[in-house]
Amino acid sequence: MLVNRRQPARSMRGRHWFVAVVSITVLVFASSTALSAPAEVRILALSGPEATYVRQAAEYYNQRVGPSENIRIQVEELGREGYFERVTTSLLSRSPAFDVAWVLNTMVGQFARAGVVENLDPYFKDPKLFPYSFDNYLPVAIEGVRIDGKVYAVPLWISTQFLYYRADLISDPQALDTWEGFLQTARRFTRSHNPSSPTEYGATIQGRRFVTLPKEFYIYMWSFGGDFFTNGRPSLNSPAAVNALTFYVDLLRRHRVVPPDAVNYEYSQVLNALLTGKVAMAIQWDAAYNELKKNLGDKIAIRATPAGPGGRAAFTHWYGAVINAASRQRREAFRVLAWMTSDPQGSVLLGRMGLPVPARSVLLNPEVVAVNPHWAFMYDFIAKSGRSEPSISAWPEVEQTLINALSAALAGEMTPEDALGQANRTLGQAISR
Amino acid sequence: MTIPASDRYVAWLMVAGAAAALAGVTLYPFMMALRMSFLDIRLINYLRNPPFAELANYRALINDPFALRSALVTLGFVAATVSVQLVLGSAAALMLNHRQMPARGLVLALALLPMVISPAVAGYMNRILLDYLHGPVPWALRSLGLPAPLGEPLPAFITAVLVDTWQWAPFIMLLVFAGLRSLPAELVEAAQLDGASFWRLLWFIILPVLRPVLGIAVLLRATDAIRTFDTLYILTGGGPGSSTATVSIYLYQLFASGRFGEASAGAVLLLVVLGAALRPALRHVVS
Amino acid sequence: MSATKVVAAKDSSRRVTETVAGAPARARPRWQRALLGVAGAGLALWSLWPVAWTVLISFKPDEYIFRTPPSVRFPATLSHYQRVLNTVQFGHYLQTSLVVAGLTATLALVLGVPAAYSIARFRTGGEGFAMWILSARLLPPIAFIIPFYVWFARLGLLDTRTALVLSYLIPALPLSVWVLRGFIADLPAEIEEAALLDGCNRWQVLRRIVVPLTGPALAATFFLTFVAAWNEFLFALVLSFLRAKTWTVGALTFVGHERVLWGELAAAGTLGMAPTIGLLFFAQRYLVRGLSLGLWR
Repeated sequence: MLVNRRQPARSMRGRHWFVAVVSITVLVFASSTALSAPAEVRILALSGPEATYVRQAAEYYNQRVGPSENIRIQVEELGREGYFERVTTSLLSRSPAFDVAWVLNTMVGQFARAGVVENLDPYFKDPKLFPYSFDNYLPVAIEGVRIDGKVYAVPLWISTQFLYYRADLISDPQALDTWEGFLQTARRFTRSHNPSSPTEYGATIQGRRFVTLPKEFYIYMWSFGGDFFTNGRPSLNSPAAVNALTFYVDLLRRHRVVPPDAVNYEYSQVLNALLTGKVAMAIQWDAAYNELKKNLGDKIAIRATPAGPGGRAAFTHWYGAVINAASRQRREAFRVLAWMTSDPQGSVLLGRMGLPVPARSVLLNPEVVAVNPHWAFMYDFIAKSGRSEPSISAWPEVEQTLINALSAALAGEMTPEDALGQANRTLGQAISR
Repeated sequence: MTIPASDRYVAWLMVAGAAAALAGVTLYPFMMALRMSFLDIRLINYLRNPPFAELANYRALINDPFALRSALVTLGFVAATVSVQLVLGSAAALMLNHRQMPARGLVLALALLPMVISPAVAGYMNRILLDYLHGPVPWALRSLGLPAPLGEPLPAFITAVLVDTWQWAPFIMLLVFAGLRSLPAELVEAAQLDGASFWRLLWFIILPVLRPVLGIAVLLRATDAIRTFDTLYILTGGGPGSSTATVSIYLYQLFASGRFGEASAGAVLLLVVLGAALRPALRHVVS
Repeated sequence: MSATKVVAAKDSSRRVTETVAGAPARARPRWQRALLGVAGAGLALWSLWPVAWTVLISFKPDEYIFRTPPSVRFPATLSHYQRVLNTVQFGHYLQTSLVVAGLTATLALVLGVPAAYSIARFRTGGEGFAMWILSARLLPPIAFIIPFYVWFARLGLLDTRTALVLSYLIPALPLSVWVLRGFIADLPAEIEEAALLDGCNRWQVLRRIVVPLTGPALAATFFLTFVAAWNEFLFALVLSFLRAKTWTVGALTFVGHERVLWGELAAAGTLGMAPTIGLLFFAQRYLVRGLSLGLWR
């Protein structure tokens, strides 16, 4: 028995040493690779042109720039449907699973107040993180993401909607200057009114019970002379606004110049309808321009949305990138965003791909502008007629009521007066809190 | 069967796991929802200390016209889907059970197919099929002079009922068929020796005997209709107007727009109403 | 009476029903069979055609998808599948769904079998308890969205598979208890009593005698709970966004691209449907037997 115990002891000791040496080697090796492993910055973006831009930028970055900064970008697409709700819940859950999220300017306020996104002022002021000039960003873009005097997002994209129309079919686009002209042209191109029309419907609307519905409606509202507030009081149900909604609803229900299931359309379906030649005109986002040009070439053209008693209105909102306060790579995330928007190479790369970063390095760069001929028009339109939603932190609640109300009006369930009255009440409650 | 004392202990032990798990995921969240329904809890403050709001959330719900609409739509949806599915599902089950039915196994399997499709995918599929400008169904319907399936409130509602029926009538068919299969032969034989025709057989013998199964089927489908979210959300988002916005969609939108307090109040109300309505039905099923 | 004889007796009664359902087995007009055949084909077609259409579209090139009238002949392409699996990591989402659904269904059985046996044989907890368990199946998930969201956020369980499994237990567990209870109640208790007299305790009776006999019900329950968890959308939408994203939510990515990427959407849908359709054909024969729900207590 004694012999048995001694023999294993010797070989055991040898085995112990071996294991120890191997373990230490593995640990040292692993930790050194961990130390030199690149920081992975994860960006959440909407499925569609938004995510495509970020993906393409990420590809370039990961190959050329990332290695020297020891950063890698990874993009996670979330479907458009429910995107904003999910970004909201993602940020609020304080999960470190992602670092950057693509958000709308109207949402930044509530995120900032909830403390779930980083205040970016210190980052912009740090020359190591931001070796560029802050003046590069257009003031209007920065103002949109400044809450209580602090900047909470990096502006990515000023976006607007214009009127797209089939230039090959519509020979007198000047008629589209007014809403009456718009309606007449739409009639001409609706087969049920004009059997020889080349398109089935003259126009379409974004009628789905979704965020794009109110954003399209505001264009009508403003151009008819209505507004959210008049003399400091909520005025969503003013006579002008009610006229606007009546006109909007009549396009579908009375004149029938838009497809009957336009109440189910948002960005993608409208784009689809234009691409397949089923409609002759549509108010649609600037994001659709490149895709439409690629497929329809000179057949498609853009112009300002029609004017009404209140003039013209260019609905403007902007996308920005917020940094998740719970992220563990906030500095790296900021580096990436700074590169994308202010770096002479990075921002120009994005601009050449078609992303109109609201920065001088992009918008005033001749070679970028040459590739995006519609930008000149777009920024002129925004400069002259740009209007945006009020920035109150409870905006999503008001917006949801507007979505329900406008949808009810489109469906004929509520009169425009009642619908806007309901929305106005909610707006009043939201600001009184 | 008298239960010896030792067995009583084992009996409780056996249910302990399931009971604990269930209590954990239903009772505790319900308490939370109850508490939150009395707070002014929103997106901005839900991780901090939201202020007390008494009955403000409940009042807001009652004053919201869209809440009432969604309640009515839900009732209509439940009534329509349950009645249609009950009739069609039972008819299909009777047909399958018929002695002369050819290829019974194959037809059964194919008929059950819609049940295993994700309701979300059913929503996507139908959105493609029913797109007015590009889909095959409107193209076919147009020649019959029928309107766009998803364009107006009533057609959209009917379409939603049909899509739900496509998906879940097979479930009723399955339950009724299983019930028919376990009918004791003596009962039916005796009736037939007495000279009963098919319809009399059905009405006086089979249906009364299948009542428990039909009861369970109605109960399950009715509550499932209230729970319907996926298909409707993807198909129409609740529109046009509120025509397909059931209670589930309405509460989800409350949650998504940050009105956690009101959404909790709605959840509590829904559970209380449902609980009260279900008590008699459940007692019937259990006994 | 041995267990096998019991099962055999049940089978023979069904066979008798087969011959009797309808009318005495005398001269049957052939047209009735033909009519049934047509009706059956109609039912099958009605159930099948949206699925078939989706699968068809998943192989159609984009230009053909939007043509009206719709075309049935076209050059097939795998590009949609490639895009789905490569750019969007759809395979990862499918995997997550598999793990979550499998865990849910397994847990539902592990917890449900003893509970169902206890309620069936001993009426444990009486009517109230049984009602409480069954009622959980009937609760609308939307009512639990917010408390779950806040609760899991506080526990750091958001975007985890655990959160999803816990959520899916709400409908799965009651369904499991319900189906199994009905089936077990139908089983004659003599075999168990014999085993008890031989000295087995209840757990052994459960494991060695009852469980093997409940095969069809186990299969039916696993099938129903797995499919429900696999196809679930709402909780996955709210509680997960990155690591625990399931395929139903992942398919959402394709609604929203430049054109609605219907080809990719159809491909994602087909990939998601395939496992459950396969399971259905396999489990189909157990469903009918397993779901008699204790009709003849």
